[in-house]
Formats: sequence, structure tokens, C-alpha cells
Amino acid sequence: MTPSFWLDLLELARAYATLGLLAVGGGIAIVPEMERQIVVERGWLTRREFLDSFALGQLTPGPGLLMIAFAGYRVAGLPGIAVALAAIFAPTCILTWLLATRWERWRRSPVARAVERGLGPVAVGLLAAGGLSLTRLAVGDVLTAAIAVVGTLVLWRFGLAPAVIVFGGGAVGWLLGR
Amino acid sequence: MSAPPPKKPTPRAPLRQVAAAFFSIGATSFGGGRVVFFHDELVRRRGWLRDAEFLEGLALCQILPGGNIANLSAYLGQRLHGPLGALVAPLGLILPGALLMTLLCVLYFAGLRFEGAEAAFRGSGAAAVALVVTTLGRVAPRGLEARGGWLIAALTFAGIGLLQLNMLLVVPPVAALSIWLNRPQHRPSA
Repeated sequence: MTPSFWLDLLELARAYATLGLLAVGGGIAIVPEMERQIVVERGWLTRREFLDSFALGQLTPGPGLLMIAFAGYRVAGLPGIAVALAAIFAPTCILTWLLATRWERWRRSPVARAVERGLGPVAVGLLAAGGLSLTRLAVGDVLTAAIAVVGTLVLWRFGLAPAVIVFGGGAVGWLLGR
Repeated sequence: MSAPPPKKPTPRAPLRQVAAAFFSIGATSFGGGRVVFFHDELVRRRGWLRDAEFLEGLALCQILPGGNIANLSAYLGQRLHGPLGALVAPLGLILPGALLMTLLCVLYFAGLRFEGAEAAFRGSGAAAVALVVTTLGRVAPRGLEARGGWLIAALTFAGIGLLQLNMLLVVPPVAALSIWLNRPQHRPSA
């Protein structure tokens, strides 16, 4: 463990904690900024590696931001992965947790009821907007459109676990879309 | 603090079950539309949360910085089992993917490439559209119950979905309007 190894870890933690706190509107919103920092500025990954890490992050279950494990590994091996993940997730989770605890004290007040009711339609709009941007990204030809439509019908009719649908779509894409 | 401490709320779910639920979300939430997996596990299957609570958490976590679903797990973890829940839920969520990603990293930098991954990714991305549409159908009736619900949902959708404006420009003012529309009404004979 040379001193430069520890400096690398520190730099990694600093870079990712900043990125996490900048990521307003969800992880995907900072992909361009991540690319700038990781590929252009620091050269931790090549562009190709960065794109591959993005695709694998989307294929891996859990948060898409897990993709940053790649740059962490490149810089400092397995400890690099641990530091990168802790740095990108912990600060914002703590922030959210603080908000959640404050919020609980308020819950019984009529204002809190208004907030809960009022945020409902905002969330519905956000979910619909998310569906639209996902459609723009993911539906581009007959095959993907068919997967989306058939998937919706099957899901609505049979109430399957979401993972079954995503796996099924992936398998169909892999079999027919290559 | 001068206010009396609030009495300790009883946890809604045992810690071990909270950990198991979030681990299962973390292990199965592939592709886009990952919030859908939270709704499926916590609202539909386990019945721990109401639709309205889920929607509230979702809207709050979208405007906070960071990975949305990691934040959502911390928020809902606190709701379900207090501070320990808030610790265990994000860990459970992240752990399965982190382990898999570590394995993929090692293989990738050892020279392995993943043929066909892109085609599979396109297929699962399209399937995620189905997830979002279905969940939207399930939660919309509850979410739109609020006064002015349709207007607020349409404004949010237009600003972020159609015009692709910055979330911070759209959500705070629209949410404030919606909360104002749903403000507590004064009873005439209080």
C-alpha cells in the first residue's frame, strides 16, 4: 500500500461524492458529466470502457450508478470499488434519511396531509414522463415496439413479477435482435 | 429542542423482512423503470405502504440529488423500520448489484467481452416500458384523486416529458401549486 494508493482512493472518494451530490434528477442525468470527469479529465477509463460500463450498469440489477464500480476498479482494484460505491451513495442517502426523519415528526399535521395528497399527481406526471423518455430511448423498431406492447398486455393480465418481464424482453431481444 | 420527543412509532415491518424485501428488489430490478420494482414488492406484494405514501416518497426522492432509487430505499427504510431500516434498505438494495458488478469488472478487465449484451439490453429496455405503463395504470387512480390532480400531472408530464426541462425548474413550483390546491380547508364552525 503505497502513499499514492491512498491518495488515489481519496481522490476517488472526493470525485464521486461530488458527482452524487450533483446528480439532481437521477443518476442518468449525470452521465455526460461523469464521462467528462472520468474519461476526458482524469483518463480513468477509455471512452469505449466507459460506454461498456454504462451498458453493464443498465444490465445489472439495482441502481444504474453501480457502473462507477468500473472506474473505481481501474484506479484502485477491489478497494476502489468499495470506496467509489460508498462515496456516490452514502452522502445522498444520509441527506434523504435526514429529510425522512424530519418529515415523520410532521406527519400528523394537516399540512403534511396536504403535502401527501399534493405530491401524488406530481409523482404520476413524473412516472409518465419517465415512461416517455424510456420509450424514446428503448423503442426504435418493430421488435422493441412489439416487446413493449406485448409486455404491457401480459403484465396487466397476469400480474407477473417485473423481473420476469425484463428478463423475457432481454431474452427476446438477444434471440431476435442480433 | 424544546418540543417534547415524539413517542416512538412502532416499526411497521420486522427488520429482517425489510432487509429481505430490499435485497430482493436489488437482485431483480433490471433495466429502466426501477421504481416499479419498489411498488410491486412493498405496496402490492407485502402491503406495507399505501399507494399515496409510495407516490409521496417517489416525488420527494426525484428532486433530491443522487441515485433516485438508492434515496428512495433510504426514505422508505426509515418509514418501515426507523433509522435501522434506513441503513439496511439501501445496503440490501445495492449489495446484489454491487457483487455482480464487481465480478463483471474483474472479468471485463481480464479481457472478456459480452457478445450480444447490447441486443439483450435493447429488449429489456423495451420491456421496461411495459413496466412503467402498467404501474402508471395501477397508481394513477390514487394519485389523481387530489384536487387539480389531472392538471398537476399534465403540467409535470409536459414540462419534464415533452419539453424535457430541468427537473428543478418544473417540480418545485408545480408541487407547491398542488400542495396549495390541497391545503387544509377551514371548517366554518371550528
